[in-house]
Amino acid sequence: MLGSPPFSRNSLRHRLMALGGTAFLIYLVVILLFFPLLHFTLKDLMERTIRTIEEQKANEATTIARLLVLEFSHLSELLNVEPGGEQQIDQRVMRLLWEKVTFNEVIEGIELIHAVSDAEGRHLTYWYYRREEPELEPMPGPLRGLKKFTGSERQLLESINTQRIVREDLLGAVNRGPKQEGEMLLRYFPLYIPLPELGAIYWGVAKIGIDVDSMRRMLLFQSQEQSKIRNTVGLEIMLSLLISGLLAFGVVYFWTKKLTQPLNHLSRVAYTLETGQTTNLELWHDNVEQVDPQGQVEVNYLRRVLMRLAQTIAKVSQQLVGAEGQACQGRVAGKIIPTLKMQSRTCQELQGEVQESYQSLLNLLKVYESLPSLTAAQREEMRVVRKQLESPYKRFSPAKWTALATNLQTLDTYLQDLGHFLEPPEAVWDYINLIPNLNRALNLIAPTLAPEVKISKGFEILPAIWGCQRDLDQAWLYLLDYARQELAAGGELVIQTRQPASNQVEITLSFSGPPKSEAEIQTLLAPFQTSAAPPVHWGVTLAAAIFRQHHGDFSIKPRDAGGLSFTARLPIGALP
Amino acid sequence: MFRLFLLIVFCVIGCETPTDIGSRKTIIYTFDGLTQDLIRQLARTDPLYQNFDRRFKGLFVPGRLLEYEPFVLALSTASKIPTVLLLDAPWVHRYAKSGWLYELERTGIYSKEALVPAVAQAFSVPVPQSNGQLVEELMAVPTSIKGNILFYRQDLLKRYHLAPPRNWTELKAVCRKILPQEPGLKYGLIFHVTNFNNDFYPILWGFGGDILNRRGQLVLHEPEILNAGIAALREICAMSGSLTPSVEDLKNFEAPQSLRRAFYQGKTLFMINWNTRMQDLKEMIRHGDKVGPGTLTDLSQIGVAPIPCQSGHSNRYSNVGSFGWGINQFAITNPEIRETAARFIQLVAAEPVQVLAAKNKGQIPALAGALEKVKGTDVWQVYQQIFASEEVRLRPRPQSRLVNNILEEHLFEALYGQSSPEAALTAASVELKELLRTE
Repeated sequence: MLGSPPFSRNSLRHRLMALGGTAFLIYLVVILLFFPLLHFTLKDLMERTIRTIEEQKANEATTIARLLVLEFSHLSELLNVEPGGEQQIDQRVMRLLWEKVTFNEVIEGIELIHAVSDAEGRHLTYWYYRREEPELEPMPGPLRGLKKFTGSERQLLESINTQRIVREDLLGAVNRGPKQEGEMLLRYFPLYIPLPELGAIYWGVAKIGIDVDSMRRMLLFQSQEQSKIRNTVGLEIMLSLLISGLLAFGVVYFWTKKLTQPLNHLSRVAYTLETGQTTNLELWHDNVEQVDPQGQVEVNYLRRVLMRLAQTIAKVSQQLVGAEGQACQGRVAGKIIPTLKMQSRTCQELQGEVQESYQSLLNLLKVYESLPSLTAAQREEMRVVRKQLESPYKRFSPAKWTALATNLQTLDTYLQDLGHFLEPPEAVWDYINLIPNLNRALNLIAPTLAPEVKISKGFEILPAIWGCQRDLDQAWLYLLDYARQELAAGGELVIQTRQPASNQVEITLSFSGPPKSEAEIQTLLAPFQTSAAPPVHWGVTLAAAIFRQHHGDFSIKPRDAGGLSFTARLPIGALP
Repeated sequence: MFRLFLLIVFCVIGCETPTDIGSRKTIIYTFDGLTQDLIRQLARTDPLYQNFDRRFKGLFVPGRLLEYEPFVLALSTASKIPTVLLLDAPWVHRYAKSGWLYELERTGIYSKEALVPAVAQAFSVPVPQSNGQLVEELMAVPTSIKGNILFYRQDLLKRYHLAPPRNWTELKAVCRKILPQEPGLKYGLIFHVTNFNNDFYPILWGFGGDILNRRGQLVLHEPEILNAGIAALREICAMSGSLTPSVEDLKNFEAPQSLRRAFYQGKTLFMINWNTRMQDLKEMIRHGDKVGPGTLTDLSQIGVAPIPCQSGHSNRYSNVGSFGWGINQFAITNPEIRETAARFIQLVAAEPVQVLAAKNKGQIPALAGALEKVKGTDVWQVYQQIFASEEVRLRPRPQSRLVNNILEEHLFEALYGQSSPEAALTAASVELKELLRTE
């Protein structure tokens, strides 16, 4: 089971998913932008429609008014009308007005306004309006009379009568707001009466009222239809977004997961190496090899590089382990040699003393033998000498003999222990007893410690555990060698063994020394996982690796008074 | 990037230009036979004039309807038809003052810079600006320069070492010197009897008189102007029977072409007529139909000069008879129509058309560039001798036919001796005042 890398939030998979999500959100925003666009488009459409309808209506009004004016222009008798009594033409004009207004629902009303005005500014006018609106009283029929105009309408009539110009501004002003005649679109045209030889003679103004109710109905209908379009399109967009969102998230999730699967797998395998979870590079190499690139060139390339790296690391590690072991042994040997020398010198001194005593007895015997005659005392003396020469060691005191023997024994022990570590046995896994070799390592290190270091041992009897004698011995040596380097004169070294559980043994090595920070401790345990400089000696790191190899647990804790405490917990039995 | 994307989205979705679905591809113009002839001739050689009839539709107006002034009814009721109109100079003023014509220079359709100043002025109308000032605006593009001028017998004046008269005193002096010595000459001066007012207007203006001012208001009733008018009419009437045809002879000049025939036959020393009559005289001389001993045989016998003015006046006048192309204000409903109308005017008033009209019809081009191309011809000489002169003014007569009819009626009375010039013009001023009050 591979561990999960802690970079999951920044992983490619999450980024791709985030990218997909962001892309969809942008899409969402863009689609949602459609709402204001739709609103403005429809608003613009409405304005254009209103404009178009108004233009159409204005054109229609102009056309109808033109047709009427052209028809009225045939009324040449109009040129003779005068205010006052009724004339013959009046009936004809009023009948025409009545017919046009009554039988054309588009025409709301007509006025024919003579250009000539009286002193009071009144114009002779024919007029008739349908006045359909309920609040307006209907006209009994077309009327003829003098009419006075005011405001914008008066100005407009004056501009037409004097300059023949229909001023757009005045026409607009007249058409804006309520009108006396009712709601309608008004058109004013100069009315000419064309006569042969004389041409078009100006008569006055034709004022035509055009119905606008149909236009209002059309605009209301447009407005209602646009509201419907807004609601329908809005609903459709929301549904589309919901469905496309679900589809997009589903597709993006599975696609991203599948796409990043090889890289994710490779990363998790690499993560085990980085965190030191793996102790078997061959197994790790196999794990890397098992990653399926699924045709992704980048992953395949990384995989190949990692596999090559694993092989390289294995080789380098072997060399490192070998070199560090030799270095450690060399350091220990270098430190024990003076002790061995001292022991050897003591033995030599004792041997010299024996040699010297034997020579003096030999000389004394020669003196006695050279004498021509010997006294009894001399003969007795000579016999004693001869006896002593047969067993010269008997001349030494028992203490000397004990000292010599002890020295020789110690020398032998050192040499045997040194030989054990310098020439380790083959790496064989078996049930082993830890205590003897732990003692042996301690014995080897003890003489090399600084003066007056207090060594405390607290060994509980431990059951044999499943392990590699050679590697564990090397581990003890690594740890003790590190402790030796840290211990100062008068320091303390405590080594304890116990069985905290039925299936576990615990070996604790505690020693005084300079205080250590967590970073320094971490550097000892996993030098590759910190940014600090790697340790000078790799002993502790390799010892930890050996314990992990034995499926054990190794921890380092700082002591309150300075120094460190190493604890190794090893399983007793072999793991399946 | 995201803003760019939004911009594109906005552009694609909401910012396209609304399609104009209502525009026409062709425009309608008032048909004119002369223009049509010229365009057809040019179409044979110039690709610009090919397919002219497909692009522009001529509006044929039945001849009998013309007297009713159908375009007044159309434009006064904001009709969009026709788009382009060929208008006599007085009509340009009438239509423009009613706001029916589209301004040509301000809108960039045509620049009057290319036109001969005298004729450009005749087709310009004062238009009120937003600040209330009046600015002369070109309202139609003239195709030629046409005006009434004084034709004279150049051979006779040369023979007697006399210069063309500048004023009426000189004219009378020339007549008194030559007529007694040339028995073939029956008249000193002849003019149109029908439509006499066309010939009278430049005489009236030359005396400082007028009927209406440029705003269309009556000025004839003003004493100073009325007196000037009376003096002008008196000058003409005073020559009746001695230098001009007598009352009895006037009827001889009521028939069409009677004037030019009399001049061709050598019966008169001076003649007031349109400058285009030079081409007719040229044709008559070319045909060589001798009708008497004094008949003209060579074009060099004919001289032209501006119509004389009163002694002491610096300007001499000509009643402009040119036609010009104007655009219906109500037809310009979208830029496409405006462009098409502009293109039409550029084509029909272009140099090639005017040069061809000069060659074929003896018309004086209105374009300075076209005039350069007819340099040395008799057309160019007429221009140089009359219209190029700074003291000659081309002016349109009053546009109202009623005004003209009233004036003509009273002029006839004076011309035929039925009333004195004073009475005739005073009566005319009273009647016109009444007419314009009611109008």
